[in-house]
Amino acid sequence: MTESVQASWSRLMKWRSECWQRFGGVLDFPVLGPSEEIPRLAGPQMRVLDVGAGAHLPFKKTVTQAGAIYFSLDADPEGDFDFRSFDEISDGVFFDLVIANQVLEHLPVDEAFAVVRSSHEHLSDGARMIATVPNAAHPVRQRDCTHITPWPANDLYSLMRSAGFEVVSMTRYNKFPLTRNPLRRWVVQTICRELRVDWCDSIMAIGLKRT
Amino acid sequence: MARSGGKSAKQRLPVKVSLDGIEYRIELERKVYLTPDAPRLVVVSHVQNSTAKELLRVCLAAIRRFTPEPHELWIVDNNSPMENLDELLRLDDVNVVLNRTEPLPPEGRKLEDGQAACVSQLNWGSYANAVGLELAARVIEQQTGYFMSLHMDALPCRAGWLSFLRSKLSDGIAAAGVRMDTTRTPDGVLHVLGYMCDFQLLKRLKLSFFPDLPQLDVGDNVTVKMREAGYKVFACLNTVWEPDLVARIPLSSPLRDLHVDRSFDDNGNVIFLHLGRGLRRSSGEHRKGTTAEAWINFVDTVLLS
Repeated sequence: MTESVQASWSRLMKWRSECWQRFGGVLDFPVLGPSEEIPRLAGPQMRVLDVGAGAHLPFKKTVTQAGAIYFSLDADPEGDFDFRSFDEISDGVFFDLVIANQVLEHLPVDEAFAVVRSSHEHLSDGARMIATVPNAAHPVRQRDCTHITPWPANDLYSLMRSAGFEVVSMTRYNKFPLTRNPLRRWVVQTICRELRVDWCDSIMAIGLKRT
Repeated sequence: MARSGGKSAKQRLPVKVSLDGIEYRIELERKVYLTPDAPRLVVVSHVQNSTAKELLRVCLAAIRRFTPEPHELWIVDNNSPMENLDELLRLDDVNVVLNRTEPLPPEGRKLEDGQAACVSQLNWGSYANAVGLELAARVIEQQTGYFMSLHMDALPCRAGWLSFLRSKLSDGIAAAGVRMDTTRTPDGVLHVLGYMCDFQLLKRLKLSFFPDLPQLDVGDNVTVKMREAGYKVFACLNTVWEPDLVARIPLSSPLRDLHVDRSFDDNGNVIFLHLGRGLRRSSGEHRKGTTAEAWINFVDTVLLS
C-alpha cells in the first residue's frame, strides 16, 4: 500500500466501520449498476472520462447517448484512446464524471490509489466518480489471472475516502438478474446469508468531490 | 452541469463596431463565460448552403469532442442567411456573433455603389475572414490570454491539441499554429486556419488580421509583426509541405490515407486536420482533393463515432 493509504491503519479501520454504519454489509446494498447510473449522472455537454476504457469502449454509447462528451484513458497499446495515462491530461482539465469500470482489481493497491486520486484531481467540484470492481463476496467472480487486488466493499469505500471522495452510494449488481422463481430465489438468498456470499458479481461505489 | 467556471445566459445584444471605416451591425449571443486564462477559440463562418452548414457542424463537434480544456468557443458569422443558422443558435456551449453587415473592403464598397447586386464577400474571402477575427477581438473579454483562430474546414482530431499549442507559448514564442506557409514570405507565416497567439501582446503591438494582398493574406501580419517585435512563432509539422511525414502515421490509422493537411504534435501524433485545398468553405464547392462530403462523412463516422 502507498504511504497515503497505509499512513493510518486506524483511519482505514474507521472508514471500514463508517462504510458498515452508512451502508451495512454487502448484502444490504441495493441492486443497481453502472448501466442505470451513468445515464442518470451524465448530461448534455458534460465531459466524461472513462479510465481503463478498454479497446471496445463499452460505455461510450451510453455516455454519448446522454449528450455528454466521452473521453477515454487506457494504456492498452491495442486500442485508440484519448489519453494513455493521467500524465497526458493537462493540469487545467477537469471532468464532470469519471468512470473506472472493472479496472482497480487489475492494479496493485498503490496504483489503484493513484488512479482514484488522479481521478479526484481531475474532477470539477461537485462532480462524481463511479468505480466498479468484482464483488469479493461472489463465489467465483474474483477468479481471473489478471486480477491482482480483490476489493471487498468496505475496502473500496476506504480507497475512495482515502483519495478524498465522499462516498454517496454503494450498490451491487449482476449482468443477469436473480431468478424470478420464488423457491429458487429463497434458496439463493438463504445460501448467500448463511455462507456470507453474494449472487451479485460486482460492486459499484460512487464518490462525490466536495469543494 | 455547466462547464467549469461557466454560467449560461441566452440573450442577443445588438452592438455596433467600427472597423476599417464602416460601422458593423452585430448581434451578440453570449452563453459561455469563462475566466480570461481560458483560450478563446474563434471560428469565422459564412454559411451559404447545407454543405457549409455541415462543415461548420462537424468542426464544432470535433472541437467539442477533442477539447476537454476549459475554453470559450466563439463563432463569428458573416452575414449568412438566418435560415442557415438555426442549429448554430440552438447550441448552448457556443458564443455567437452575428455580423449583419456584408464585410467588404473599401474597394468593394465603391464597387457596391454601382453594382450592388453582384458584389458579395465571396469576392473578398480573406477580407471577410479578417473582419470576423477583428470583430471577435473586440467583443471577447479584453483580459483574455490566448486567442485562437480556426477555419470551419479545419478541426482538432486528438485530445490534448489545445494544451500542446498553448504549451508552446513561452520563452519568447508569441504564437503557435498548426501550419506554416512559406509561399508569401521567405521566413514563413502561420496560416490563420489554426493558430493561437498571445492576445495581450496582440493588443499591445496593435496588430491586425487584415490582409495586405498580394503579399500578406489574412492573419499573416500577426506573424510578421511579432517577429519584427523580437518574438518567435512555433508551427507544427504538417503534411502539406512535407508529404513524407505521412510515413509516421501508423498503417492502422484511418488518418494515414485521408488526403487533407495533417498536423503533428512533438510525439508524432496527428492532432489537427485541414480540408482546405480547392474548397470554398462558405459553399462547400469543391475543385480538387478530398470533397467536403467525404470530409464530413469521415468526421462523423471515424472521428466522432
